[in-house]
Amino acid sequence: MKKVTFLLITILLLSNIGCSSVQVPYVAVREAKFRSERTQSERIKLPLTTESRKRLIDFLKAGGDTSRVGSEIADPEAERHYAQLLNMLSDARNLSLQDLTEKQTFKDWFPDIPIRQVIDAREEAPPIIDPVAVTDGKYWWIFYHRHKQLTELLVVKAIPHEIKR
Amino acid sequence: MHDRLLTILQSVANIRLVASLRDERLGFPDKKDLRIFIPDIHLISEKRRKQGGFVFATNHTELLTSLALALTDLKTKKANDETIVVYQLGDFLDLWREAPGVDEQFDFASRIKDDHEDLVLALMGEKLKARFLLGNHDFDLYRWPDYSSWDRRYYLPDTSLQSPSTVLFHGDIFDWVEWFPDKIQDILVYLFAPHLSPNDYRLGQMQTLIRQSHGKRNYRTYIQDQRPATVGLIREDMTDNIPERWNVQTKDSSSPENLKFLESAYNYCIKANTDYQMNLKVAVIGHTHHARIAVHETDEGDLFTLIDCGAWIENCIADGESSSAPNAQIAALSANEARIYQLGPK
Repeated sequence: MKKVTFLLITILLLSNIGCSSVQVPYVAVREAKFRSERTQSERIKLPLTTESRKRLIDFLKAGGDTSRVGSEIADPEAERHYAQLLNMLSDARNLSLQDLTEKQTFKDWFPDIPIRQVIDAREEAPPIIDPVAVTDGKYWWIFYHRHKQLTELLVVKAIPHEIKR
Repeated sequence: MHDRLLTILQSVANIRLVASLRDERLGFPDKKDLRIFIPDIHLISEKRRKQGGFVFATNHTELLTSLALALTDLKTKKANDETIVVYQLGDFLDLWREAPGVDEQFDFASRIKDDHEDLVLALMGEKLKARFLLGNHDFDLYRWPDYSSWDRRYYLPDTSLQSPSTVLFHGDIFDWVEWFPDKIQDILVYLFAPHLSPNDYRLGQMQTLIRQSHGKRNYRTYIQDQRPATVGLIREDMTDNIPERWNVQTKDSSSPENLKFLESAYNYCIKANTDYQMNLKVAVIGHTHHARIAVHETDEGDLFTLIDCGAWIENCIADGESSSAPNAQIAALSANEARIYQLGPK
């Protein structure tokens, strides 16, 4: 039994050495119906206003599917669930780049490390200044910034990594 | 076009001439084709610069931003039948100093860019359309989707079917030639052979060599040399015509450090000429942080030229000067004439 365990550990260690390359994580912007804007000109400006907040809430209540906005409520909890986050995004004092990176002001919603590689095939070229993409599990929240201030927001419905059976 | 470039440069900086060479054997005769080379910049984030206690950081970043904007202006005003291309010769972002152990961190390039936004926007802007080489301090970017168009070498001219006469490298390849002569033969094929791009496996091999080259160095006290690079006699007066030959390094008249990589570059280019039916006469590099034009002239009258474009980090010192100056150089090639300028704030 000990020999088998030793052999298994050895195989595991060797396989880890052999697979030492690391994938660079990136986020892809999804199709129009699953994002909070149809074109870049409609991108939500930060801080949120009453109007842009309502637009975002409508999108989230529709489960991130714009074809349902105004006709179906896919997520009745959305307004309550995201209320505090949207409050914070309405306040310029929470909108420095550091709030997303070093200060982790939004860690209750976005617990994972931000991803800086965002692929948006609508663009002519990759972004020069990389946006910051964070996820709450249901959506990717992609923040654009200028001079270290968060200036714009794109929310995209996330694709679940795993399917529960 | 050299004169127009000089006028633009003088509008943003004090300009001195490091070296010039006008010779029809350079093999780049087009008078309407100007190539501009910006060497090593080595940007790191401000936080990392303080944490790491690095002696050297990028010199004159505001001037470099103004330069990039001025070059954008030059490019946007060119005539339709003219070509102006700006190349950054590698080591733009110094990932190696920003994040030792890069595999565990994925945001370090973004962090650097966040701290130098105006410069990055100017240099990487769509209007300038600068082309970027991967250097040994930012080679890992080849794995990032945003940088997949950055390359390991360019050939010139590239506007006709003429056989290439000029090759652009970062220059670290010549370190490998010296340090790992047995390991680079496969890689050289991918660096020199035209119409052949290195696949992931070869890029992985290059990455391994680069990591071996770095060894355990942390670059805290210097990257290339603690001492200022000796750039010879710098020409202050830019009002007269630029001389046909100024401060050109030769085997007969120059010290070995001013000829560094000349023979390696010559030998590999001659071999590439034979192997791939090319006509390489000029190699343009950065990497050494030592601005100079060095030539190899054969008894048959052939000329091979190494244009080492310098850097925007560490220092240089000119003959006859008692104090060093921050490296801040660019080079240009047009109409069979190569020039290297030293820039300083106005």
